[in-house]
Amino acid sequence: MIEVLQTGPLNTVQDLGRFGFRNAGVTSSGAMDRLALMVGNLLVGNAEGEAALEIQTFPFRLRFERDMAVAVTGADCEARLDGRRLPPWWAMPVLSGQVLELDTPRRAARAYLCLAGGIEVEPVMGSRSTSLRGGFGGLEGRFLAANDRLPVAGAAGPAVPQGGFGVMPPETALAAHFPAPEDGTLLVRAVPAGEYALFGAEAERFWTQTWKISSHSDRTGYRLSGEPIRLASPVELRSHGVVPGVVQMPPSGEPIIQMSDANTAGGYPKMAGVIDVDLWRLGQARIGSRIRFVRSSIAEAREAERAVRAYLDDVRCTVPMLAQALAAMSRR
Amino acid sequence: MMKGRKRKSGSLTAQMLDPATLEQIALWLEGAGVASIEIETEDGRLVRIVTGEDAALRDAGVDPVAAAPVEPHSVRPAKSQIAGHFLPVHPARDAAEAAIGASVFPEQIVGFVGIGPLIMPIRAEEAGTLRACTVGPGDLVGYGDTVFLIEPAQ
Amino acid sequence: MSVMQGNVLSTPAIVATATADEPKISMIGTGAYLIEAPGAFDLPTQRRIWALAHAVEDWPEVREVVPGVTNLLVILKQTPEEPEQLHLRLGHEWDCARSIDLSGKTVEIPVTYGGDNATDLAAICDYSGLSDREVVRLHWQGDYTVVALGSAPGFGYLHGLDPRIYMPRKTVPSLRMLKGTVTIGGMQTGVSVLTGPNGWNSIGFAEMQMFEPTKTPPALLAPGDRVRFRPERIEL
Repeated sequence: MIEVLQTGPLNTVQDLGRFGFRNAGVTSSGAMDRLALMVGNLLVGNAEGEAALEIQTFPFRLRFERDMAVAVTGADCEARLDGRRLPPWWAMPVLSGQVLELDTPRRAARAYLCLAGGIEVEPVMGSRSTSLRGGFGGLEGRFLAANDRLPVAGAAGPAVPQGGFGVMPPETALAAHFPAPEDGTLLVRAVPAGEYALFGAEAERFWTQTWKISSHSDRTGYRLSGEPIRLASPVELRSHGVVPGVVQMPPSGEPIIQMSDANTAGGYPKMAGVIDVDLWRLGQARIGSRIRFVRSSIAEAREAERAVRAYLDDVRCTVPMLAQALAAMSRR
Repeated sequence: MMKGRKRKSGSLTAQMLDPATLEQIALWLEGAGVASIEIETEDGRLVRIVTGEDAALRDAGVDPVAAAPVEPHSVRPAKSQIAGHFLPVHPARDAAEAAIGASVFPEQIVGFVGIGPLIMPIRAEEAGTLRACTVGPGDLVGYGDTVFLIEPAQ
Repeated sequence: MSVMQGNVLSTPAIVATATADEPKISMIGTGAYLIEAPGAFDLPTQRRIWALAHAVEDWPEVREVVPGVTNLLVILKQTPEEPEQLHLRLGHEWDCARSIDLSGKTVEIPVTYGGDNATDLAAICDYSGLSDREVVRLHWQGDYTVVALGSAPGFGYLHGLDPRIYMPRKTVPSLRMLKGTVTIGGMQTGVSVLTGPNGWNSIGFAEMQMFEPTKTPPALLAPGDRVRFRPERIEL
């Protein structure tokens, strides 16, 4: 068990999401930064999709009620274990009674706390992700509150090295495969979607301008503010399925990017779709920060996906090797 | 404290007496704004390394690389637990976990070693002041290699 | 969703760009294709969408399919190696798809018409020129088909509303409409499944659970099902 001592609103249990029920109106949910969740799980010997805590409001404090191995990935929250600072992207064994604290990150938005064995809430429709809107999944379909206790399954993987260890953050390890931010502006790659052509010459401004992530943004979607782009005559489409990453243009002319808790259906014209492999970076973009869309291609997306896959495979293979090497050296 | 260590790259004593190494350490010290440090060697001598800017010591006629009897305030190493590439700063952070000249406590992380996609900590063994880093960023370090020098607290 | 409002249907700007029987096929990001049927909304077209969904859902590269209102979203397991190939295959599958009648079940939903939860009934009377009794009668006498599920867990878009009680979505949504509210939105009707903001017009209330997360399947309704509303009480 772990016990939440202090938390802001909207911190939830998430895994990689709930699939197969979109045709019943069920959003996928799942971690906003899927890569951070997968890496954290691999560090503690889990399968990459185990349920973890997604922390996006701070400060957050939690007490471990038994010895276990944990990893904190994603945004650097100046994590402290019993008051001692931990590096970001870090895994270590913890003892029963120890307290982990996370503070508001200066960059990025969301931290992930993965526990060896995973959080053992009851899966709903094949996933442990919390659907806040639907009121199911995770812990009773709601966000965490102080005094909540969450069960943690028994660990299956090898022991995490005593002194703790970390992982190269994806932003560093995959730097060659993702566009570097320009003057603090996150570059988000996207491909044109269904109604792109309707915007004619106006569409160019979609790519050239810098958009700000407005305060009306959350796990459901990001509302962007900037110079509006409107259709000469508004169109409304028949209700159709949408996926996270779709960039819709409501009548206001300011784009909406649907995120992990995206509605399953939409009717606004679709300007573009963010390439899947860039969604984790968008999931770490903060309210008030700036983004620019960069026109991409399926081929470029596939190249980045291969790099991400290779990075994850590398982490998965190296973690047990490191544990073995350290164990061998400690016997000397 | 340096007894019985298994090393890939020869003893610290031999390295310390190598003028090129001493010069490099002096340069790092200068870069870190530290005037001088003293290092205890295996054969019981104390080596004092003085940076170019420390005019007071130079004027006093102290040899930049002086041997002296062992004194109680000797420095201790912080070692790499594994072979890999030295990372003075965590890749996701802007600053080192502990700056040269800062106080450190036992088990505090003072630097990192990158091994493939993973990162291992280098920790201080006891309380003291972080005096020098003896390895360059990205350099290959071996198991048990000294990466930092720490002056123990009195 | 206001997408079924009359003015939209009479000027289907997007669909008009496709030729007579050509669907519009587009990608959303790297992992989903949207196939939009040509022409106006009608049940035969919707049945052809269901046929397409049925044919495509078992393709090895497909993770799930989401039928919409005369369209189908096909979500892939991963980014396709040959996106143009898949585009062509989906077009071919549409060409081959023949209207199928899903042999759906019939669901009877008991409703309390009027009362505290029918806050928009008066507006519908004004708009239609009918009495409240007439509006209610036309609603419960209707024979409805579930066109698609979406917008919220288990919410069914029901087709078959009498044109005399079509009612545009509200420009100012109700902020906290109760789960179970029976509503009219444009030419569609449905029972809300979540308590929260809602732009549809409320005329009554149904106790029946439309969605239970732990059941298999969790949603009471499925595309192709027939729905009848039974007036349990009328409070006018």
